[in-house]
Amino acid sequence: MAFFVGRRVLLLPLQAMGVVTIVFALVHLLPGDPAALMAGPMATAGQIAQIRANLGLTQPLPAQYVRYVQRLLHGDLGTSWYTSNPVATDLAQRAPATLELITLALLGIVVLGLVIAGVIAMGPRGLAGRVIAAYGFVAGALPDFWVGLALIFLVYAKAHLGPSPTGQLSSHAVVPTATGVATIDALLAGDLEAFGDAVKHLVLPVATLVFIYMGPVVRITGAAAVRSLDSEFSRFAQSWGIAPWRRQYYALRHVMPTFVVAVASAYGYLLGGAVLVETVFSWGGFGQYAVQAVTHSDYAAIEGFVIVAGIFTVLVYTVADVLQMALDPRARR
Amino acid sequence: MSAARAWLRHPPATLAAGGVVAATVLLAITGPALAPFNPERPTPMVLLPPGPRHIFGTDASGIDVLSVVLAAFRVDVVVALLSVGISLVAGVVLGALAGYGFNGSRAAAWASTIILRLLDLVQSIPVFILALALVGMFGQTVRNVVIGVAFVNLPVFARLTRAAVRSVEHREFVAASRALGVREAGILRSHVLPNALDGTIAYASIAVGGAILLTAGLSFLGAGVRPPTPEWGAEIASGAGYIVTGQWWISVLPGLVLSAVVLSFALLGDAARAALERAGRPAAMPGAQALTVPAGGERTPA
Repeated sequence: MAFFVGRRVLLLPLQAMGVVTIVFALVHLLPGDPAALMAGPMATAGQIAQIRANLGLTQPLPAQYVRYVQRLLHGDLGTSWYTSNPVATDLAQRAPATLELITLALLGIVVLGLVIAGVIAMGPRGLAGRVIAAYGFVAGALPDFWVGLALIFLVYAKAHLGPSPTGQLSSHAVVPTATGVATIDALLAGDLEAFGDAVKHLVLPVATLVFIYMGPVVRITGAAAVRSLDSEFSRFAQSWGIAPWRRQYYALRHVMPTFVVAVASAYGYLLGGAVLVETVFSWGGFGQYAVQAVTHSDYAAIEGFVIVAGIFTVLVYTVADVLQMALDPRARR
Repeated sequence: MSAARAWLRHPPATLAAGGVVAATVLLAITGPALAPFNPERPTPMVLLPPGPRHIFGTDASGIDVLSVVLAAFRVDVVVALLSVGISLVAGVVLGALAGYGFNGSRAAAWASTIILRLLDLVQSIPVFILALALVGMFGQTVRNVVIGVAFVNLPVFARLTRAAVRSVEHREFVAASRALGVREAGILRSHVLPNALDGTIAYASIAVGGAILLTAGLSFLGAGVRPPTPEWGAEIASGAGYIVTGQWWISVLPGLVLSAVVLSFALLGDAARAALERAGRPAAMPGAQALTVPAGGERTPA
């Protein structure tokens, strides 16, 4: 087991290098001078020359690549011409808010997803099973940003529930920034009112993400559960008079590896979805930074967020693979 | 008559989906001509709620929302069909090269490994983020949206084709062709691929819906098709600021039309998959397993 886990974890730096290589290749496929692109439209000739020297653009491509990787290893993602901060600083400031959003959404998906998949397994042809199957299709067809807007309309504009749906905190609630996660910062400051406010701000964006990204998890896990309860080992257990709850427990155990993979890919998709949902709710996280970078042709920032998003995803898949090895002996090979 | 009756035996959801897809293709051709008002010219009639004159209301620039929705069929559907067409063709070629063994050739095995690792690399970046970055880097034009959406969809098509080719290449008719002296490339083209493509093509219908969602998402962010070109996501964005004050129609109605189209393409693809399954040729469809690559690789039952 340890051997297989170790081998999988050793693969991680290679995969991260892959992400870096793709981004490097993309930047060098761009028409035009990378230094001028990085420097932005307002740069002087001197600034461009400095960036060119800094990136080593006068050297041959392999040397540039080595230099690029060295820079990244030192945490240097370049400087955003739009915010005039180092991209790494910008991203580090905004990542916690996004992580809070997508991790809470993931928790919702894990808990609700298992319950709903269980309901499907009880009766795939019953009313509940059909309703859930329809939900799976509909969730896959609705744009997440549209669902966010519809929720704002129903909950805030119509039902007048909750605070104004922009940002992580209402403007009157100010807490000192410690972690960048409004709920944790409020708790650290001992400000329970601000904590409540931050939680209320989380409800709609998290509900949006859960509604959309739970669809595939439920569909895949539900189908696996139905197959499992229908499989020979389960029928064999039934013929031996094993209690139904026990068979359901076996099925749950059998479905777990599938569930882990489905949830892991949902986590990757959530990061993409967060870009849109953050924009709807003015969340001010990683996703909104990405949008700002794209709309302002801020190349260093675009590069930075792709690399960070890619490495995050590779990390998530590694954890999922390790979990799978723990759950399923056949994955250890 | 009997043909019509055979059609009606399909489940109602499939028939409805087929109807919507047919209407969608028709509207992609005629939509701009059917728009009752100019979808690009602002008027002083701003923020009118849905009524007899403006069935979907008007937006903040006084543009008739229904006209934008109708005219946008051409933009969104053409972008989606083009990009899926590109990723289908490129994905089938890559997938066939990665899947077919060329009768145990060492070079083919190497090519296969290289293609698979490249696909892994592309797939390690979340789809929406990669599309956003591609459009951001290469410039926000409709052409680049098509290329970006095609690029991010390509790996799924390649993997589906590869899986299908691998399941076909050991069938007897392949060995028979080989025995008759057909070249390996000819076997792949004329005998393996035609028997391996049905599932990939069924998936293409689902992918068209996904491509529409991607295009609309990019445009919603202002990173795809840009105003005044009529586009669903951009129109939803133009109404986003008015949701809190209760002017729901600008965002909600285009979103409903978009979702109906995406849902119909997905249902049609699923019906095709179900039909293949009933015909005894189950197609590998991307659930999570096909999209992500667990460490165990393909887990074939021993």
